[in-house]
Amino acid sequence: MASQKIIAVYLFAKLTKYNSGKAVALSHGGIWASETGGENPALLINRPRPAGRGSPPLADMPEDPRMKSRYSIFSLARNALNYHKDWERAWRSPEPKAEYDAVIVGAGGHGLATAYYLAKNHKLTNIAVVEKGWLGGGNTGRNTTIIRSNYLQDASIAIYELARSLYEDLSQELNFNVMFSPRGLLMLCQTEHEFRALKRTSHANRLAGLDCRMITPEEVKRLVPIVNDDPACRYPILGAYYQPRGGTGRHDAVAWGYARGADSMGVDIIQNCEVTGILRDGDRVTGLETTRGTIKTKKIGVVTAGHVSTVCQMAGVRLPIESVCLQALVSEPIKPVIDCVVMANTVHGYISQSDKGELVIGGGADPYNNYSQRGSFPALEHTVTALVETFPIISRLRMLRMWGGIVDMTGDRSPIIGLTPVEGLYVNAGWGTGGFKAIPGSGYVFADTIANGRPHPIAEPFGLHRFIEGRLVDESVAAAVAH
Amino acid sequence: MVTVHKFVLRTHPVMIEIEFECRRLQARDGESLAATLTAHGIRGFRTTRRGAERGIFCGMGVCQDCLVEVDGRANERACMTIVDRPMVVRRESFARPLAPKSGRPIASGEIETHRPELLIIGAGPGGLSAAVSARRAGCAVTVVDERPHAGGQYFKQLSVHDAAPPDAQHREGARLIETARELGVEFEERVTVWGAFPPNEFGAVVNGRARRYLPRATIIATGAYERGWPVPGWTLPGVMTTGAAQTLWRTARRLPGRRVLIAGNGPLNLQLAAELIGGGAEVLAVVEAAAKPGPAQLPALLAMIAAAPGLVRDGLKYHAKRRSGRARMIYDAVVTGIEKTETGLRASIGKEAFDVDAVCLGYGFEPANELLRALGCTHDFDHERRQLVTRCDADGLTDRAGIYALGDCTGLGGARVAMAQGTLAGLAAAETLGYPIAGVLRELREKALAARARHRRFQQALWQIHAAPGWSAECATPETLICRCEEVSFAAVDAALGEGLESLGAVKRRTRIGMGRCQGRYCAPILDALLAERCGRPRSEFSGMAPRPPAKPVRIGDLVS
Repeated sequence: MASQKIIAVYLFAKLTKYNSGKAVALSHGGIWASETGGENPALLINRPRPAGRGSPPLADMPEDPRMKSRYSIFSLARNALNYHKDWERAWRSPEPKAEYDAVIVGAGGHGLATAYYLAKNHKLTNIAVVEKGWLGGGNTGRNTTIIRSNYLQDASIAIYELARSLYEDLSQELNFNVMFSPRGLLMLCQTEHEFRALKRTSHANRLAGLDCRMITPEEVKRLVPIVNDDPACRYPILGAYYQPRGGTGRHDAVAWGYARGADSMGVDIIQNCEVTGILRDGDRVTGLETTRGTIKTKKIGVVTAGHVSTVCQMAGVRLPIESVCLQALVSEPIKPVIDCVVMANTVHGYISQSDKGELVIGGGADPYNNYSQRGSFPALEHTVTALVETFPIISRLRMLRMWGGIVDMTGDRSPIIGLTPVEGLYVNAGWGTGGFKAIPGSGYVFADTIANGRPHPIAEPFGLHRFIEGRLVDESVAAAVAH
Repeated sequence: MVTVHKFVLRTHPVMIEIEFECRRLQARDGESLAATLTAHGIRGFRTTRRGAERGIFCGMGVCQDCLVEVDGRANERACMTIVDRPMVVRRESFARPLAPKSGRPIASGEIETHRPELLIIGAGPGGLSAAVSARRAGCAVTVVDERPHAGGQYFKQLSVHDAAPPDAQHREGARLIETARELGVEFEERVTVWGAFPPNEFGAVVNGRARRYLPRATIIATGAYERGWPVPGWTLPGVMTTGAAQTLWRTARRLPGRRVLIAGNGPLNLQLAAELIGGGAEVLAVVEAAAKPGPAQLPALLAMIAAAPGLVRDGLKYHAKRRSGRARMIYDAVVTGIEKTETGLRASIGKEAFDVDAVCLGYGFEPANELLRALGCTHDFDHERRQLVTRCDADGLTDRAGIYALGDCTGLGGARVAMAQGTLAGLAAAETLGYPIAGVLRELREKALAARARHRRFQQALWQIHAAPGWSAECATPETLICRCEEVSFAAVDAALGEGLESLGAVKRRTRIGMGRCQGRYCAPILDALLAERCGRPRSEFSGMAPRPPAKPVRIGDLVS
């Protein structure tokens, strides 16, 4: 099996063009996420890895005439003979139907994952995902692809660890290489205060069963040779909080994989279709007005990140969310210099290296509310000043691109998942600066919430009611990005 | 092979010895590194990710293709590196490793902030004229430019001394620069403005130091760069823009090669032919995309003569020079492909092939409007000229307060129009800043208004004669690269469009087109045109790529130190 894998990897590299959207998952794995159900959060966090991997995954997929042919080493070889010209489309571009059982607004990672799990786990296939622009073009394609679950509160750990553990097998599950790379993630301690705060988090995480630990400055230097270990510098390295199975994924591939999976089960993904109004009959939704016509539906899931407030406003629902621009930049490509993800929370910056060799650098959010998708000078200045001090090597690299995404922030920096005062209107938002890491878990519990009309147990603490009852899930510190 | 021409034999410029890959090369003090390498027959400066060789292309610092390693500093643009000291130069390769522990910790502190009364970005003819008129009105003026010499792409000042005497165009530029200096205009050279932030803030890098400009008013005169023309082989070393070849000759008196083919659309190609012939090159042909002017073009010609007889005379002189150099004029034809041979390049024009050292492509210009767009100034798409045009009032004021724009960056109009616009914008900006315009300045304004109208008529007539179809998909083969930086082929773009992607952003995400160092300058207009054609919708201000910093890649350390 191992040798087959090596051959497969070699052939894969040989036969596919780098960066192709039609990347191929190599090994066949069981889809164990569905086996555990989703009733008991604790079970989801600490569940053992399923023993019977390698069961035919097709058995879990519904028999559908539109089912996509599987990506495999054989399909790759077959298509190589035709110079890769005959690959079938990964998803259709259907015209919107007049009515659906449910409509998801927003074809980003969260929206597509929701549609995927609705179809797969809840057999709801007469559903649509409507998207204003193109699939994965919002924050899904703009983030720095960090995946981790070391949050402070139990409720947060439950959902983020569900997501992280789903990422582990996502390529097999979706038959699409999402390039999940658990390369290890460090959160640097650069002040005494931060050291103590992260130590507290580490205790909380270890109680919850997460594989995380505090490491010494020497270990940090060993893992990240480019870090400035001068004890006399302004923010010396006092240690780090380390999650070995944290890492990165390929953001586009996550969206593409979920889109392909959902589409193959009959979900309509409708791009270039902007929602212009939400139709209501009293206290319940009846449909959507879009630029491509009216769509009737009884259930709407709004998953539009930075624009969630504007969409929900159409149904008369106000959300406790502020939208701000969060920016990131990449350097010119260089040979590998850093093989893990490093977050320097005191100086508000984080860094990893992409497969192409570019250093991906993220910073703090703009200090004012806005809907701008481009960077601002002060935020860039702040991020770069701090990071150059911690990683002097980057000062010699050129900034190649810089961009922004509109993030949706709640007061406690935790998401809002669940029902709204309007019947049939569900919302999944408020992921703020850290939504990418949560995509599989978020879609999983939100699909369950929509299908059953009640919050999934893991989503329960994240309902809108917490702002009325004052039961906040405070993650201001663990969210790590300066707000 | 050393390209020698008559001026070298006659005079003795100051030489500096530089080292290139263990070879010793004689460079002229003050010329660009690209000029030195080209003069010594070195065409390939670096290799790309796929191992393809690249050399000088735009010659003006925007294409980012001529990257070399200079004294251990990676990815320096050879065309923007001035040889003013002995240096060690190496070919650049993709993603070269960094030495461990390299880089420098920086002393954090406040970025140096300049608050000029009037900031003019771009020291070309338009920017210089604006500086002169605003200064005459009494306004304090700061002009910044990325190059070490003012003058821009039109006046292209000589950067080497004693190599050859300046010509009339050089002298006109020198006079304008001298006037500005005498009036007390402050020039800041080697300033790379990498970002513009509303309402009126600019991020710049000057000699490796960060600088922030917070002017009271700004005039943006960033000019234009040559349009990409993707044909098979357009990325080969030795294929460069007409502007690049002209820069080699006009600033350093170096030739792009001994045997040259010039292809494109418009009068600049003819001027280059005349200049290169004058410098001793053998120009095989000038290939013009427009049809041969016939009797139908007579009214346009008469209009040109009426508007600017001097420019028509210049044009006739260029033609005479071309004939004296036995360069053929081929009308109604475009380059169909360029391939590498053992000795140089072979360029095909239909069935005819030319063996040359260098091919110059000059198929029109794109406005360098990235700063204007970043500031949020409204633009309209001009379907006739196939470019974005900045919405300005008669004085050049955009719809953003305190932001004036002029010249080619607001839509192509040539140097003469830019100079007239410069005078008007300079006066208007000064007036807004509280300096009254009276007496002789009022006359200046009237004259500029008349000149602008006259030269606009000239331009209109000129482009009637040179009317030619734009780039179309038939020019490319599946292997032709559309995106030079990320090496995205036409086939890859075609496949993405075939998948039903309807927006530039989606194609970008799918193929990485436009994500390279040049910031999509060359591929974005082409892809936008392709998309518009396939989707059956018009191009617009928002159909292209969104403006985003950095306008040009800058070192991360230089942003804050």
